[in-house]
Amino acid sequence: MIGKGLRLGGPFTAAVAVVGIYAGTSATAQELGEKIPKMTVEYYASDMGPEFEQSARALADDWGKLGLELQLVPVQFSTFVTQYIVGGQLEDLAVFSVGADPDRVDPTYWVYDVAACGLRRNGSKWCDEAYSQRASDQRAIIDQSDRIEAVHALQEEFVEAMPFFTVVNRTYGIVYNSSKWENVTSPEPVAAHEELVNPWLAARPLTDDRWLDWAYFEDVSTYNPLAEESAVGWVRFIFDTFAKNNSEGKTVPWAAESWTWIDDTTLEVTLREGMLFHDGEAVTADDAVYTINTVVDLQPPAMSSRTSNITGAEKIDDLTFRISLNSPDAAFEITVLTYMFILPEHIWSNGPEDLLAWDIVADDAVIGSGPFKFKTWLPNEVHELDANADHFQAPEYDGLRRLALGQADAIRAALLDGTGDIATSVLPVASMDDLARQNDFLEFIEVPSHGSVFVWMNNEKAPFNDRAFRMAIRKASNKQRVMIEGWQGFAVPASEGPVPRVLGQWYNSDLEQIAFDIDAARQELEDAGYGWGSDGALHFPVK
Amino acid sequence: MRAYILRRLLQSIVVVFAVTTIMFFIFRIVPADPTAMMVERGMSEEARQALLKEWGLTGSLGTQYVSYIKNLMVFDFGESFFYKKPVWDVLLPRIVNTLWIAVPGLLMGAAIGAGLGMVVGWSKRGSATERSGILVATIIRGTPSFIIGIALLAIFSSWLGWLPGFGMGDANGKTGIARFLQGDFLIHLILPVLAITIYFLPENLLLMRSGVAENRTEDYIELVRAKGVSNSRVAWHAGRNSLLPLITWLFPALAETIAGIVVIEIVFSWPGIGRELVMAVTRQDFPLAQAAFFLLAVMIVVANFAADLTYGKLDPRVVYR
Amino acid sequence: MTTLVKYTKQSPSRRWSWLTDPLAALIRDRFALGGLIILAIFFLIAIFAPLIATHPPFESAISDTGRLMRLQPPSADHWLGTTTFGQDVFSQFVLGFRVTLMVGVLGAIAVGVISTLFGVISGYFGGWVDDVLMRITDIALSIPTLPFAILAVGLLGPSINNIILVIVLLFWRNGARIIRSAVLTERERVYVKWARTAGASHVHIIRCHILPNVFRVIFLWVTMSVAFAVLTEASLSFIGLGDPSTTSWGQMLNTAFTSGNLRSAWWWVVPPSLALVMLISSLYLVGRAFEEHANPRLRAK
Repeated sequence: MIGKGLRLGGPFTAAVAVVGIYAGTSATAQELGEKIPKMTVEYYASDMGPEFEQSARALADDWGKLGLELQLVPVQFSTFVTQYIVGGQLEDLAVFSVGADPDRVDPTYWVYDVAACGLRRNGSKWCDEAYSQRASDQRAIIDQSDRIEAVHALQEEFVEAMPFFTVVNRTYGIVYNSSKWENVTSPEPVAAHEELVNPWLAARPLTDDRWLDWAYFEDVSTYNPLAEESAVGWVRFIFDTFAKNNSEGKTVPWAAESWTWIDDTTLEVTLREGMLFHDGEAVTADDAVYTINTVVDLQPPAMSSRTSNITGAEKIDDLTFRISLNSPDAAFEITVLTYMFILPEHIWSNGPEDLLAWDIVADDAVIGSGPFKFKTWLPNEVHELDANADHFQAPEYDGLRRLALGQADAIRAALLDGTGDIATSVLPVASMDDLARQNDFLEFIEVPSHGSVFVWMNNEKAPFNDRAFRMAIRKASNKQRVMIEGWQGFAVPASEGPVPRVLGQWYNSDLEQIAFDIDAARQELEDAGYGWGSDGALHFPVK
Repeated sequence: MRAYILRRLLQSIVVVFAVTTIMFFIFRIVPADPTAMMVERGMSEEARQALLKEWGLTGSLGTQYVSYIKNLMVFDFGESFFYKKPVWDVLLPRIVNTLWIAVPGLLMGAAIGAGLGMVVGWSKRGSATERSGILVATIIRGTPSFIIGIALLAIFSSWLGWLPGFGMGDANGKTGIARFLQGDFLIHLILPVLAITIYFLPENLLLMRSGVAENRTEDYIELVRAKGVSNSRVAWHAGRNSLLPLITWLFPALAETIAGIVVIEIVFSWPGIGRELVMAVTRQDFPLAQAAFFLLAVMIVVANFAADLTYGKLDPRVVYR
Repeated sequence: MTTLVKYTKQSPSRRWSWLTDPLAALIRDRFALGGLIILAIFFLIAIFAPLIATHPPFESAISDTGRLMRLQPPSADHWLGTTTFGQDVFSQFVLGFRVTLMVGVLGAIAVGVISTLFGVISGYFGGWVDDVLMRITDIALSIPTLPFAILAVGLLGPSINNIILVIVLLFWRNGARIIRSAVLTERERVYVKWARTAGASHVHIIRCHILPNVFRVIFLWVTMSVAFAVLTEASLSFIGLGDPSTTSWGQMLNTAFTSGNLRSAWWWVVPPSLALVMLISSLYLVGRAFEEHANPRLRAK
């Protein structure tokens, strides 16, 4: 109500009106239906970097050539998530990105989570019952090649329906001080995430300064792994997971030495020998079983998405245990084994009643078995982790310091004055590249990834409920332009379908690529009965 | 006098109550759903409802309001959505950080501003000192705080490379007061404090200047002068009397300036209460944002109250009604 | 006795004195004159901005080889260089005059109207009306300015309309106070009392006696409000809560800041910073002349 307090006219208001100036193929007046009303384009506001606004602007400019009137609406990141990504309140169009999380190298997120009927993350509200069923079923296909085939078929179906599409895949960046560090390796195709070995555990110091200073922002809300859902990877520097995903997209052993499927719903896991918690106690199957059963018991809200399929765990011997599942899950290794951690039973069984709310920093109980040991945390300032020399993959330096600088300017200054050794986020990738070019002691690594910039359309609303209209929008989207004007070159035009090309075998390379072609888009509309008024504005087909 | 204080106190409480009510409704304009971020990661519906209940976000607006006011009475703002800790645990260190730059900055701004104001006010009307003093002060006053910050960063941090321009320096693992008594911290303190000093200085200068300029025409000043007292002593007399409006102005200005330091904290990446407020707003961490805002509002109410009382103490002509 | 004369027969030359006197004072004050000249230039640039701008503000410059022309220093093509997105700084800067002055002027006019309404009603009628209105301003005055603006724009969504709304919500309160006390003084004047006993209506008294005499105060407050409005918009935009479809100066600085180019791309940072300082300072200089004019003890002899 207050928001509509003042109305201003003229070209200075929030509206960016782009009415097409295409003349030519306009139909005669009596064939026209109603005029298509003004549409909104919602996108991540500048708190997620200035690139989204530029991308939305470039896309809207071309969509306008179809005779549409569009208004750009910036939405703060968290509001965007609340209202559009999970809130189902998408108005017309949205331009935003989904992150390059390590577990998204599995296709489930792309073909199911964002596309199946009624799912909370399906913000474009497309619903095809048959598709949804098949998308849900693929996860239970244990045979790899059968599953690949199913996922490929889903992509074909998806492109045919064109409920939404990907514009570009993002290229992340790492910039680091090469006079002080070497072997800073690329985590491609995943952003420099802590759940990975690269570059964090691979880096080697070249000088006596053996602390790696990471110029970053504050995203840790608690060190309690049962409750933390934002800095998931950071906490797993301290608490080892059973497996890790490597840069080839393969799930490799970590705290677990090996695992085998006893049947479709039972996994036997053998722990690595000789692991110790940071307080010197040995890591045993008891700890793993305790942790899994505690999670099953408490169903922590922050973890429920990944762990709800687990029914429990039982010990076989000192290093072996079995995990049982509700239903078969082909993505269990890649999404859950790399996510579940081991808590020391001797500490947690003596914890307070409400383990989820336990402030383990205050109680000096941040004890895991991971490659780093907790040292200090000054919220919104700095995190310090000591290297755990006893770890099976101990870093070759003394500790990791994460500076919560939170803004591009400060990160840039920190890299230049030596306070920061490495930056992976906040500072736009193009600026990282600039810095490395201007300064000999800084090195830039380009990390092409599966992080995707989506264009969502509200499939429940006319004209987006019409496949022809959606296809026209797709054809009128210039991926190349978004890559250059929006991402300053640090992105890759996306391939067709929801699954990013960098997912390798999961991506269906037989899909036909649709070219950017405004004329073809207008032809598509004309064939479906749409028409243009004398002012160039697009009208619905006559009913 | 006592009745006046009591009435003024009651009034302040009513004002605080009204501000918190306004705040409650502002936050309800936008549907608050702190679980959204977790749902993005796939939280189940039951877990979500449980969390909403825990955060007092279920039930009608009326019941939410009642429980909100009840908690307020005991200064319980609940838990931060983001940090999952009581908001005071999060805010108290932030307030300390803000005070570290605000207090020295404001004091220096006031002292230097008043001193210069006295010089400018006492200088001859139309003289070069007066005119340039007023012009420079007005230009600085017209400079947005973040531009002062950017200029300081550009000159001292980037160009000359003398001073660091972000954060509070290496804590070296120290906590409590020891954390602040380190050379590195003090070096990091310089630029933000300087920015606040410069930001706060011109208003003091101009206020002092007009006070002195007004006072010098008063009869008693003429009298003092007629007695053959030296010029500088006369200036001191006039200046002392001009301090009165300055001091009463200082309290609310102090509060308002602390609230306005937000932008300076952002420019210098200073982990203070203002920067936390901005982050809380973008993260939709409503309990935290509410508490931070409440704190700033209370500060202003208290400052106004203090200003009224001091005014009476300093100027016997004021009669309390 | 002079006041009586003023009431009974207004000579035509004095009828507009409430307007002409302060204006004359402004022109006599050399600082204020300087401020006025700068303001006039700024307004001219704002009016003709679309004609002056050399490029569409959001157009990305692409070289012949298809590369984005990022962060170019000033050149013949781009008089103030380009941004990190290859956009023309000069055009964004020039169009920024429009956005900034529009927010400032619209905000200030709305503030002026509301403060005058509150101040006049409160001061003139007194009694419970005054009490209620003053308690409302008490509450409003306890709201911390910038934090409130951040909250409100953050929650309502960053658009020019919301920013102006917040500015109005914030600055009417001080104005109402100041105008009220001026009205209180006027109300007690002999000629007002005479007019009332002579049976003049409230509307007549307010229009003919109160408003012209408090005009100076209103004008002062409107002038200061333009400065506050510009400052608030710039601060909000700098924090990242500006309207994205416009190119205000605060926003230019925000883009430079969030893209990490604040300390290096001087051609991008200096023009909007300088313009903001010049604009706000000029307004303060004009305001100051008014203040001094209103306070005879400060007037140069």
